[in-house]
Amino acid sequence: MRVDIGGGLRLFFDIEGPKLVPEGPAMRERPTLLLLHGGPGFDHSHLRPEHSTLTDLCQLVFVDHRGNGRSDYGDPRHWNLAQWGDDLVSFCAALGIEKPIVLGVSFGGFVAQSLATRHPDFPAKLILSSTAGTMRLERSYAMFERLGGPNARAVAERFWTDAANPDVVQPYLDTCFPLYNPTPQSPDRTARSVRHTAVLAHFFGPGGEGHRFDFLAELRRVRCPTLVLAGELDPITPPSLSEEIVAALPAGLARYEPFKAAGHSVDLDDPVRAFAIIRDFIRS
Amino acid sequence: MHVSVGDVRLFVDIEGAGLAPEGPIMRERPTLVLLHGGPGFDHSNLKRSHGALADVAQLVYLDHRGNGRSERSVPERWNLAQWADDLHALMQALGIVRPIVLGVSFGGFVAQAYALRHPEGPAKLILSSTAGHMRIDRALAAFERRGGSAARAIAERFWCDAENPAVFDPYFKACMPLYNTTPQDPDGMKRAVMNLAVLSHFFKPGGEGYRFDFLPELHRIRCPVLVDYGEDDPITPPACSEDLLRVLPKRLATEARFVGCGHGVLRDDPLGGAQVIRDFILR
Repeated sequence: MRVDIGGGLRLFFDIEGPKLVPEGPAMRERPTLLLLHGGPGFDHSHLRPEHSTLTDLCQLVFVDHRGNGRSDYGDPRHWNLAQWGDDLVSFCAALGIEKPIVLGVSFGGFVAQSLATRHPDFPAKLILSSTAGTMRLERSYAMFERLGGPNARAVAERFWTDAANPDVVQPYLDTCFPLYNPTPQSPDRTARSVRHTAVLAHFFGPGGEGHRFDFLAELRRVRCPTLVLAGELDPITPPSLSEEIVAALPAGLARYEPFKAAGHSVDLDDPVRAFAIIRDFIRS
Repeated sequence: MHVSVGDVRLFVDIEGAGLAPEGPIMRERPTLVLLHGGPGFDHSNLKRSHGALADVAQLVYLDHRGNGRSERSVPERWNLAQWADDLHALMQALGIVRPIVLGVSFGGFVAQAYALRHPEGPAKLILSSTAGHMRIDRALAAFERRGGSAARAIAERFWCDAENPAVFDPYFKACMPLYNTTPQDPDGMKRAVMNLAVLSHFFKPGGEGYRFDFLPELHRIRCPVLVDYGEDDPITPPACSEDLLRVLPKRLATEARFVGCGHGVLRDDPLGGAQVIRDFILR
């Protein structure tokens, strides 16, 4: 499905699980979980089927960010975190979705932080999974070197310093992507995604917002309970970046859950524990 | 969710994914829009009866304008043309192209209005326990067969005087239990957000419920249609579905007649009723 969020720009979304379920003499209302994908330049599909297991607990709303996947691309001038965050407020208004729990993975976590710092009353809860308040590539390179040796480091450096160059993307996908997770991942996950590399180049190209954004000072504005999930073997957003998020959030709001043997997107390496924690957080 | 269709916001709920991961692709699944009966009831009971169809399609439930959790609007806009146009506007607002539209009872009236007013709209139609034209004479005879002369008398009072609030309770108590051949969940009615003003408006003496007649128009239908109905349905008796099958283009119509079932086949035969719909969706 696609819905107009204003000015004729339509965002793609998909939904799993009903909002209202029959229960005795009443229709019980379940929470809405808004799921934000990574990239940018990928689409929501990488969150499936793993996150679909939450369907018994809440209504899942998967959305492709502006410029990504099956959503309208719009003007590249609007490919920025403030806009991506604001888009979700417009999106939820168009669908009458109130107080969603917002889960962002990786780049989706940047958008979730933009949303929660610009619109602190909007989310009921936040789940920041394998993400960062600000990117620190020197730490990423060190982790790539640790996991894949100096060649992996060199390929990563070439990519992250020159992401607008199409020649650097494939070597990165071939050499560095397999280091994201200690568990081998099916190539089908990447194949399933509608890719739009222009938005990746725009965001992470030299001087792009991906190298400049910093939510650490803003995170004190967050007002809702926040779950932070990090894999200790994550090369691209190493756990110290999640620790920075936790330290920057208002006292008492953050729950931090590191995963020893997991990489980027902890649910791919340790689904049982990851979803047990997410479920507990949604219910609590 | 609530989605604007112009002057009102309609309540919408969704069950089952639109895209399913399958190897290297995301497979698109059909969209099945479910239209509830009444009017004056809401989508809630379709969830219980039809939710199992989420294994073959993305289910989109809505409450019609004036019904359930949708905005009330005004009685001047409680009519089949408007309800059909609302569905069209909702499909546009959600970017749903060529849905399969299933209407039960009153929902079937809206489904017919939609298909006739927006021939490019539906990919398929499922007309369940419904009619192209209400025939209260048939209904009264069927109530008498199923519940004796007392049931007939109460039905007659209701259907001749639906604007009178005093007629509802006796009808719900004496006649609704005759709709089906198996005992129904007593919580079903409690779960629905009711607005009987719409029912009164539609079925009042001289109301649209007695005037609409799609039978002369249904030859214009362009998509495959499944007509499923129960032999023991007192309110839209089998003859009403037979009328539909008589006027629908022969090559497009499929009949599914259920022995031992009443109004809303899936309420009496959930597995058999759902299987026929599944087969129709998938073929």
